[in-house]
Amino acid sequence: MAKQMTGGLIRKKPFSITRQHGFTTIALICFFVLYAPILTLVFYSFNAGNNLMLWEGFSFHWYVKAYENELVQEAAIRSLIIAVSASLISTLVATMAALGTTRTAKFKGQSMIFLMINQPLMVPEIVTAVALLIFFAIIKTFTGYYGLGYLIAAHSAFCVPFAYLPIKARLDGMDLSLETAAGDLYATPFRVFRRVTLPLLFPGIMAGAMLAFVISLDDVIITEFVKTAGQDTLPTYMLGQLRRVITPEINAISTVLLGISLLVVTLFFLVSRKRF
Amino acid sequence: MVDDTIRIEGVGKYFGAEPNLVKALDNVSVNIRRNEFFTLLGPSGCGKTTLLRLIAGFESPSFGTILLDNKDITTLPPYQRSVNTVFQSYALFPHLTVAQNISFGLEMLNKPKHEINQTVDEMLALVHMEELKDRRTNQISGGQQQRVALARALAPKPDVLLLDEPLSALDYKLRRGMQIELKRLQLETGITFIFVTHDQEEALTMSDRIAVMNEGHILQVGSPDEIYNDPQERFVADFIGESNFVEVDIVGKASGASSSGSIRFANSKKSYPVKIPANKKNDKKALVFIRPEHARLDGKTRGATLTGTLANKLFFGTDTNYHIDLDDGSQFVVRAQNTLEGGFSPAVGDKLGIFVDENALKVLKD
Repeated sequence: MAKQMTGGLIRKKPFSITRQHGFTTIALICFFVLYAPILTLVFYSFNAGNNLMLWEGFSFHWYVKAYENELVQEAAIRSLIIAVSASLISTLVATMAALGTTRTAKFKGQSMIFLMINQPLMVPEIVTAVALLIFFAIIKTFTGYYGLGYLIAAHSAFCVPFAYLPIKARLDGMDLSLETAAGDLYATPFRVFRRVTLPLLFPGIMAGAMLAFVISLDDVIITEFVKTAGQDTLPTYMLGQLRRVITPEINAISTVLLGISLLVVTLFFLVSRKRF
Repeated sequence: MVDDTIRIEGVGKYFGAEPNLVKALDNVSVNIRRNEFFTLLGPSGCGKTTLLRLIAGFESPSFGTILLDNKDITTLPPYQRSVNTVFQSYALFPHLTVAQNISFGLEMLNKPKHEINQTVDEMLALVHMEELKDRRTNQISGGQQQRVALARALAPKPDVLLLDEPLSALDYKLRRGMQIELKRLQLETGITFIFVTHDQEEALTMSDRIAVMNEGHILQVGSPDEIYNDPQERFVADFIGESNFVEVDIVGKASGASSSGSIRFANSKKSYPVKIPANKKNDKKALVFIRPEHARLDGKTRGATLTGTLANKLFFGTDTNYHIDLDDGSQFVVRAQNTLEGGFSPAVGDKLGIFVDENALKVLKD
């Protein structure tokens, strides 16, 4: 090794981090730290007993229990309503924002706009949560409305950057001359959008919507601050349960949530990888 | 009267504002005839692509008028002009098949379905792409993409087809094939082609007429023969083919409206009768341009137009280029055809005479 480096006659192999000593060990430790807790959680969701640490045999008992629990049912439905609404709204807004920031002539303050769109990624979530709590409290006293609208509005807002980024990436990678060519071939601006821009952008829009859906589905902090009594989503319901007796029912719900997230994220990767 | 398809009248395109004002195109006027293969030739940044984009409507001119069939189209958006473009990058729609790409323009014109199908079939046959019509555009080669781009732009049967350096991405052989193909398509469809290129050879072989452009101006418009043999300015002579430039004295003044006069080379007593451009009438000196193949070398220096020593010989197969250091220190190139008989073959260092006939001498405007 030393001879090779000083002699210089034999060409040194290019540096590769994977060949350094201890690389495999470090990688294994990282994977262990990341996945061991999750695997334990999934494992104990199938525990027959009601203990989180003592294995008493395999069973779907806690899944059935969770499914039959009306509170869980309500929270799950609420979570889905919020996640679907928020991902639709935020994707629509994000698509318009992405078109506005890529398909117009460069204007003053464009990078400022970019920062503002991505604000939820930078502002601490707890700050947004407190701000929304106070802001919505004011609106509630004026309107008397206490419905799900507040949660949907809050989720829509913080999901925008997650929907925006894949859509913008797609638009950035799209050859502008395609739209010019469509215009050259007698397509009016609306038909250019309908026949060329939108079909080419669609995978980006789908990816953005899925990302927004997952982000909305597992949000705790903002939901906890914004929700009124009886508006628990699945994550806040679970948080509430943890203050009482913990049973593997929590594990079962978590496992289902994990499954949904994994499914959506996998779809996200498949969709955003698709060229056309 | 000549039938013009496109008339460009005093058109300019400026970008930016005063301290950084860029005059991409400055007061250009040119008429393009019906059914002609017209080429805009010039180095990159000369304004040729800008002019093309103005005709297509992708950009609007800072001033001036563009007429298509005597109709002012200066402010019309691209989708209302009967002008189609073949883009340098082809810009084929990746989400559509070859056939769907070709039918796009026809669909946008709301043509009836049977007519669209018929035209698409015609176009596929015209560019020999029948077998690949259901392929996606990323599943065909560069040359095939080029042909689809052509068919797509020709399908709506526009009055004018604009081609923005469409052959620059192809390799030499394919390029040669496409040059012939393009010329054939132009003759078969009878559509006016406006072709942009920086390749002088391509321009000379394909065009009916060429406009040589530089720094936002059109310097000269003419047939390939006129552009090659009778350039008016040094830039045109220099840009196309190889040229020699020699400074001469104007000795015989032209009288009245006649453009004839005579010139004399330094250190030579012989004067040559030539045409003197109007703006040179009152000058003492002028620049003369001589093509390398229009000069002849000889071992004797008596009576020669110019004399010098052979500095270098470059063999080209059909021809040999002789690089000569003239007595005043400047360089001169003579191109001679190679024959099997051998003939006159000077060695480097030989003192030689260069003989030029008077009809090979062109006095330039600048």
